[in-house]
Amino acid sequence: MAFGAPRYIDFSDGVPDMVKQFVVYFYRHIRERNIPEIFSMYEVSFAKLSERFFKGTTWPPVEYIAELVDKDSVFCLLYKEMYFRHLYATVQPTLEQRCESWDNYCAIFNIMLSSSINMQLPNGWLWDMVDEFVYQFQSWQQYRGKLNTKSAEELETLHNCDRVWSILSVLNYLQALVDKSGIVAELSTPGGMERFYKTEGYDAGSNVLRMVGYFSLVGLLRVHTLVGDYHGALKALAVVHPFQRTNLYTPKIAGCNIALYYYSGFCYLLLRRYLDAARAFNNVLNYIARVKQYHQRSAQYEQILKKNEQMYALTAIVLALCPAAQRELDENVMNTLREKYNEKMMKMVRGVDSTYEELFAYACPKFITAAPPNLDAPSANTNQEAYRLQLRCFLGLVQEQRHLPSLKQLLKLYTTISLPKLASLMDLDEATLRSQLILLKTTGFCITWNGEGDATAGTRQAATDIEFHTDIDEEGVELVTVAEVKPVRRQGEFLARHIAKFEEIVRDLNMPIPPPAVDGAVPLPRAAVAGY
Amino acid sequence: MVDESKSTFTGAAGYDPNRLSQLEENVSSQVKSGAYDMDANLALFRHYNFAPEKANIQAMATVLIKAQMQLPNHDFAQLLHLIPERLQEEQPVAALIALTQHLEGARFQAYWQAADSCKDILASVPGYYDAIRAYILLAISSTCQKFGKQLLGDSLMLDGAALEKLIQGHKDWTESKAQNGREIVIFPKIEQSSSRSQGATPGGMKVDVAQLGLLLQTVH
Repeated sequence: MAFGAPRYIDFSDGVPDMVKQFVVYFYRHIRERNIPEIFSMYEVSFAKLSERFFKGTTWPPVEYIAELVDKDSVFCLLYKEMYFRHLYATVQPTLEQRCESWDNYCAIFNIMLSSSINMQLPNGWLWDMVDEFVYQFQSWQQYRGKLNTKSAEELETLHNCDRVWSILSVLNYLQALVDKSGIVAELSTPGGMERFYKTEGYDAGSNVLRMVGYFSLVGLLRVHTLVGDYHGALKALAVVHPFQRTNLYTPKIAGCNIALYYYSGFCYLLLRRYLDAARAFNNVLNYIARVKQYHQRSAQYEQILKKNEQMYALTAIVLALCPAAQRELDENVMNTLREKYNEKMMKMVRGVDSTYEELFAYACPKFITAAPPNLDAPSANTNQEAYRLQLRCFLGLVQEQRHLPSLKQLLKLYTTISLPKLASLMDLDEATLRSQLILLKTTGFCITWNGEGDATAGTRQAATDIEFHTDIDEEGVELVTVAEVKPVRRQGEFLARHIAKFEEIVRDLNMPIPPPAVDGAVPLPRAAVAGY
Repeated sequence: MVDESKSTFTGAAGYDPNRLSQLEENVSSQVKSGAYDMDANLALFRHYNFAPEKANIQAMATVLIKAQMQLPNHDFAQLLHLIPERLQEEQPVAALIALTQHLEGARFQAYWQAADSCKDILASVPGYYDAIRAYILLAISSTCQKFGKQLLGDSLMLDGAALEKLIQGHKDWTESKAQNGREIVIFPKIEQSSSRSQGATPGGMKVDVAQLGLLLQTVH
C-alpha cells in the first residue's frame, strides 16, 4: 500500500481539547455501561476525530491520556486496541508497533479469559476486535515473508520474537476464547440459539467473553482458510452454521456476516462442494444488496463493496465448474452475475485457464505460509508460495475437466450416438473418451449439506445439467444415450417474490407523504441502527 | 468423510504440537484397525504445514493412501492443499498424487500401471485395493449400463477366476453376449437423478403443492 511518510505529532504540548473530551466521555460511558453511547462514540466520533486530527498520523500514545481516565488499566488496553487499529489503517506499522499490538491483544484476551471483565461493550466493537486480531496476524505473516527487504537489525528482532503473531498462538487464543466462553454449549441447548439471537448476549452480566467467543468461531474459520485447511475451517465453525439461518446472529453485524459467508463459501468451492458454495454466496450477495445502503458512511463501506465483487467472481467460477449450481441462485443474483461476468464465464466454460486464474487471484483470500521463513537465508519472499500452492491445486482440477464442456455440448445434440462416432467428433481415442464420459458423470455429483450435522456434513447429490449413460447394442457397439435435464423451475418462489413486491408497492403508494427531513438527517430503518 | 465424530483431535487438542507423535501413532493404529479419522489426520497435516521440517514423509504417505481410499469423497484433495510444494515433489507423495489424478480422471488402466511401481507401500494398508476397486466400480456402474467384460477386468485389474468371482458375487448383475461375440456385463438400471418430464410445461406454469403453500403464506 502506498502510505505517505508517517508524520508523528509531538503531543508534549498537549492533546487537542476535543480529543481529551472524547476520551473522558468515552471512559464515562463505558463505566456506566451505556451501550448506545459507547457505540456511537466508537463508530462515529472516533472516525470523525481521526479524520480531523490524525489523518496520516497516529492518535496520542496511551501515556498522554492515561491521567484523564484514572489510569484505568482495562480502558487503557481498549484505547490502545483502537490506537493500533487506526495506526494499521493509516501508516505502515513498524516491527516494534506490530509486537506492541500483539502484546496488547494478549493482555486484553488474558483478562477476558480470566473472567475478570465485568463491563458491557457494543458487540460491533467486539467483532471488530476479533476481526482486527486476525487481520493483523495476516499482515504480520505478509510482512515477515518479505525477508529480502529487512535490515540485519530487524532480522535479529524477528529471531527473538518467534511467538509473536505465530499461527499456533493465534489459533490457541481464538480456541481458548471459544472454550472459555462456553458459547458452543450455550447455543447447543434447546432454545439457546433463539435466546442468544434475541438478547444479543446483553442479558446476563458482561457480554464480552460470550460475544468474543462467538466471533472467534468466525475468526477460526478465517485463519484456517488462510492456510488452505478448508475442512478444518468449516469444522471450527461448530454451532455457527451458514445454512441454519433461523436465529443466526451474524446478519446483525454486517462485517461478521460477510466474513462468515465469504470464507465458508470459498471453503466449499475448494472442497468441490459447488451447490453449497453457490448457496452461501447467493445468501450473502442478497444480504449485501439489502443492507449496503445503510453502510455508505461507514469506514467498512469500501470493504463491503470489494467483498461483494469478489464473491460475484467466485460465483462465476462455481457456475463455470458446475452449471447445475445455478439452481441455488436467485434471479437477481443471476442477472447481476451475467451483467458482470458473462464474457468471463463463457471463457471459463471454453476451458481458458488464464481466466480461472485471473478470477481466482482477484477473489481469493490472502493466503499465508504458516511455517516461519528461513531467517538465515534472507533472500526469499515466501508470500507468493502459499498463493501458488493453492492456485496449483485448484488449476489441477480445472485442467482435468477442460474437455467436459465441449463433450457436454456435443452430447446435447444427440439422443443416441455411437462411441466411435463421438470419439471422432471429439478428436479423441475411444479409451480416452470413455474416461471422459466417466469423469463427466462423476463430476456431476457433489457432497451437499442436507439439513443435518455441522457445516462439514453432507451427502453425495446429483449436480448436473446433463443426464446420460452408455450402453452396448446387440451388435456390440457402444452407445451413449442422452436425456437433457430441464432445470426444475421454482415458479412458487418467483411468484411469491413478485406478489410481495407488488404488495410493497401498493403499500408505499397508500402511505401519506412524510414531511421533509430536517438538516438532511435521514431516518434510518431499524436494521441499520441495530447491531451495536 | 466417515468415523470422525468421535475424534479426540478437534478443538484445542488439534493445535497442540506436543501431540504430534500421538497423531503419528494414531495413523498406524488406523491402518491396523481399518478405521479412519479425518479430523486427526487433518490435525497432523496442519502441524506438518506449520513446521515442514517435522514432516514424517512415511506417515504422510499413509494418511494420503487412507484418504485416497475415501474416494469419491475429496479428502485427498483437501490434504493436498496443506502440503507445501517442495514436499509434493518428494516420493512417495508425488507418486500418490499421480495415482489420485488417474483415478479422478477415470484413467483406470493408467492407474494400475502406475500403482504397480509403488505396490509395496500401497499393500501396506489393508483393504486398499478393495476400496479402490469399489470406487472404480462405482464410477463405471453409474455411467455405463452395459460394459465390456474384458474392459471391466482391465479396469479393475482382475482376470479369470477373480473376475468371475466378482460377477458371481453381484446377484443384480447379468451377463450377455453381443452378436459379434463380445461379452457384456449388465449393471442394475441407472437411476436418472431427474427426468425429462419435470419443469415448465409449454403454455403454462406448473406449481406443485409445496410451492402453493409458499404462495399462500406470502399472500397472507
